[in-house]
Formats: sequence, structure tokens, C-alpha cells
Amino acid sequence: MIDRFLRWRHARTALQIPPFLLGVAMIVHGLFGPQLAPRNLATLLTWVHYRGALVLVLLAGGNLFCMACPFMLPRELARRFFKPVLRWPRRLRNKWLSIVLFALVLFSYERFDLWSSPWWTAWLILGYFGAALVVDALFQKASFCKWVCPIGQFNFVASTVSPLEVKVRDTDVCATCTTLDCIRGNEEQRGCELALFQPRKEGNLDCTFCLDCVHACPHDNVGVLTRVPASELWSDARRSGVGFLSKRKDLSALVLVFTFGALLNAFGMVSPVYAVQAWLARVLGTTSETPVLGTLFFALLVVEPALLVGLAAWLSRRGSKSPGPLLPFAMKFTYALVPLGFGVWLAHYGFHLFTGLLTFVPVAQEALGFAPRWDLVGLPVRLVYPLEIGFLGLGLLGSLLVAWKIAEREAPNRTPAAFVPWAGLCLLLGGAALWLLSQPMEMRGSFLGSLGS
Amino acid sequence: MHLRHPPGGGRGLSGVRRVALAVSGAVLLLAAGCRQPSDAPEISLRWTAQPQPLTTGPMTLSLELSDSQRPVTGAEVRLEGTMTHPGMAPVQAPAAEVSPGRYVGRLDLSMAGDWVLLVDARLRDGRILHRQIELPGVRPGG
Repeated sequence: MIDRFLRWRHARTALQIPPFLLGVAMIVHGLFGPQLAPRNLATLLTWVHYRGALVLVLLAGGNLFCMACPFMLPRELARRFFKPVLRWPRRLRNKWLSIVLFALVLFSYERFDLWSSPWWTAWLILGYFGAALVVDALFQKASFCKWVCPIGQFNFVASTVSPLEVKVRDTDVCATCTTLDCIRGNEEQRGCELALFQPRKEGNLDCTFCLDCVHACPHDNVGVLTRVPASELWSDARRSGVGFLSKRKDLSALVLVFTFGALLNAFGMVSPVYAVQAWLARVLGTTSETPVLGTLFFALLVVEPALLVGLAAWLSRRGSKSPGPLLPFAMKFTYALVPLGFGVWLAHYGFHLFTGLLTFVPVAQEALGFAPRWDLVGLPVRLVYPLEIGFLGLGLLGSLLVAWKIAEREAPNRTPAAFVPWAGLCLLLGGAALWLLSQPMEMRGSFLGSLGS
Repeated sequence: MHLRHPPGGGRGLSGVRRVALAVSGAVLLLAAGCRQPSDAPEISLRWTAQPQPLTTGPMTLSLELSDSQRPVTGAEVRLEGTMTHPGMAPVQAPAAEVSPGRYVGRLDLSMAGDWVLLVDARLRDGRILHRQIELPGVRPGG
């Protein structure tokens, strides 16, 4: 039944309509509803349910949230009337812009306490709809998804550990295909707008699960199929629309921001961050949160990864006697950090989702004028904590496995020597994450108030 | 670029209309539910919280309700503490009148961070009072 549904050419639109309606409801409630975050659908559904469901679906399925992305609906509608004529600038055909935007979202979340502001959250959603519409109204193909969208980049990286992939069923069928509809499209169905040519596509990077290739293939030879999660991370074959992972500095940087951003985002929720912020404020001689947070972000998203990954790469290259410069060698191994980073995101967002699972019920009841059941909450923290540890452990094991496979590939004769420094880095980051998860949580935006205390 | 659907068909537009109709319905329903609760602005509320500084664990909130400097007696007062982060369990308790116009309630602040206390009161004459008290920076308890 799922197979039949996915083959239906309006499947994606059908999947997009419920999130679109939900998005409209969140915007309306965020702008005009109660401005208390726990009682507003915009903040509650965005920062608790959407994020939690996103990572769980990525773990259990694949990039299904991009598949059902509501931001694409107005864009599809607009493209019925306007045909974009511009091509995305060549200099921007990489992930650097989206990395900056990803970091900016993480920074804004902390700086402006987005979780506590329904109004700003509503504007963030509206801004997202607007940005997707404007970018894709001006530029051809799926420029917004591939080069701009920070959520999309998060999903692309996280979906490398997903068990589902859009791929070719039988490569022999592709070998005899002359029309290449999956990439070129045909009169009824466009081809892949993200430049992923199915026979040479490998993995989930840059794939939005839009199903265009599934519907375009005249041989019914493309589908959503199962695969070994994370296996694409240790492959360095040339990929259509992506190239070689080992040669993509931007993708390596995206993986680092994804992994260290997970730790930073979790760090923002625990008590010690306020002591660090207060200390930084004293050192910098400021009472403004922006320079303090900016310094913290620079230290944890740029300096720390550069030092730790640089050290691991240096030790690994030296131990394995691998030739060549350090940076390309380091880039090859950075992909090993993805499962661990994903495990941290999963633990963090899973915590919020499970502990607040049912809170949407009373908020929706109140929004619709019914008597709210405020006693409906979620699982107790003591039950969720083991789940968090499980997610983290799963991520750590995955990272160790990927690091070993990459070490095997890069240093077949000295695999353990190449592996050990990266294993050490994974254990160090895993230990840091474990420490973060065991800290008392402290959900606070009152930075200035904390300085005096 | 190929269009997903052949242009010129009427089916697409009716689909758009259906979506627009559904969106309008959702907006109207929510807008109706977005009305702010009624309040009694003439009622003055003064409050103190113990311990100071506030830490996780039990806390006591004392409220003084007055109307034109006369104590408001016989009100049913309920307190609800909630964090500024969505999705956290709220804590609730009644506040009992301990002297004319003075109400005391105890809440258990379960987590460090920023809290908001919602005070809901039904006065003897039927008026409804809704107030919000901010408690930023609750520290971890010892």
C-alpha cells in the first residue's frame, strides 16, 4: 500500500498538505495566541514536537521531513505562474552559505531565546516560507533545498545514517536506458532538481526524497529501498551531484558544524553554561550577551573542532605513515563523526519530545476553545534518561565503526594505527556528551540576570 | 524545467481552492480560540516568593489582592508554575487565604531555569483575575 501511494504522482503534495496546514495554524497562534511558550502551538510544536519527530523519523526511516516539506508547497504553486530564469551563482554552488545559516540559526536560538517566543517563532516560520518562495522563484531547479536551507543540510547529513534511500532497483535496467528521464524529466514529470543522476547516485546526501525520479522513471526502476545505515559514510566513490566526499571541504565543514553544534546546542541547556558565560563576560568586560555567545560559538564551532580534528588527523596520519598533506587526510575521516553527532541530537531532541509528548493536547484544546487537560505531559525524566544514553551509545558505536572502515580504506596495512586517534576523539566527544546529558537541566534565557547571581 | 502537471487543466485549481478553504477554516478556528482571557485590571496584586534567591524544590508564594486598597477576601486562587521552555511539566497548587486578602500557595519548582507563575483567581463577586509573574533564573537546589 505504501509502495502504491509513493508511486502516485501526487503523493508528495498529499504529504505536504497536513504540515502546511499545521504550519499556518502555528503562525496564526504564534502571532495572535498567548505569548507564553508552553501554551502556544508555534513554540511547542516547533521546538518540542517537530525537532523530536524529525530526528526519530531520520533514525527509523529517512529524509521523510524533506519529502513532506511544507515550505515547498507555495513554491510549487508559484512555479505554475512564474518560470525562474536565473541559475544559482556558480560561486555559491557549495554548502558554505548554508553552513553559515545553520550556525546562525543555532546562534539566534540561544541569543534571542527563540524557544520562549511564540511571536518570533511564528516569524521564523513565515521567514522560511518567504525565503523558499523567493529563492526558488528567482533561481532554477531546487536551489533553496540544495544550497540554502539549513534544515535541509541537517537532514542531508543526518539521513546518511538512515535505513532508507531513494535508489535504483536494478542497475542493468539503467544500463539500457536511453532517455534518462530520472535526471532529464519528460513531458509529464520533471527530473531530479538536485542534479542527482540515479545510476550514479550513492547515499542520501542532497536527496530530498521528493520522488521526482521515482515518478519520472519509465521503467519503474527507482524506489525507496532499504540499505545499511551509515554505509555511505565510508564510501569514497564519486557521487552524482555531490562528487567525492574526500574532496568536499564544505561537506566536511558541514559535518563538523553538525557534530559540534549538537554538543553546543545541548550545552546551552545545562547549568554549567551560565558559569562559563559569566566568566567570559568578566574576561571580555561586557554585560552584553552577543559578544559572549559569539565567543562561545567561535570557540566551540571553529577552534575546538580545528584543534581536536587536527590533532586526531596528525596522530592518525603519523601512526599509519600515510602520505600526503594533513587537511585532505583529516577531511576523509570527519565523516566518521556523523553518527555520534546524530546520537547527540537524537538524545537531546528525543528528551524534549518524550518528556513533553502530550503537551500539544491541552495547548490545542485551549487554542480551539475547549477545556484544556494540563495534566497531560509526557514520560517522566527517569524513563527518558536511559533512552538518551541508548541513543548516544548507538551514535558512538556507529562512529567507531565508520572510523574503522575509513581507516581500513585509507591505511589497509596499518588500520589500527590510523583508527586509534579517531576512536579517541569519538570517545572524548561521547564522554563530553554523556557528561552534558547527566548535568541538571537549566532552561533559561535570562543571561544578564545570571551575571549578578 | 518540466512542469509536474500539464498546464491548463482545471483540476489543479480546484485543489488549490480546497487547500485555501481548509487554511481559511483553520485560521478562523484558531483566531476564535486566540481571544485573551478576561481580567479584572482594577485588582491590585502584590507578591513575595521564598526562599530568596529561588532554587529548585519547594517555594512559597504569598499574594496580596486588593481592590481600591481594600483587601479582596474569599477568592478562589490557583497557581500554576511553568517554564519558559515549551513541553515541560507544569506544577499546580491552590493558594489558601491566611488573612484577609492574603493568599499563600506552595509549589515545587522541578527544574532550574526561567519560570512563569500564572495566578488565576475567581473573586467572590464572580470577577476573574489572570496574572503572570516572572521568576527568572531559578538556581539548582542544594
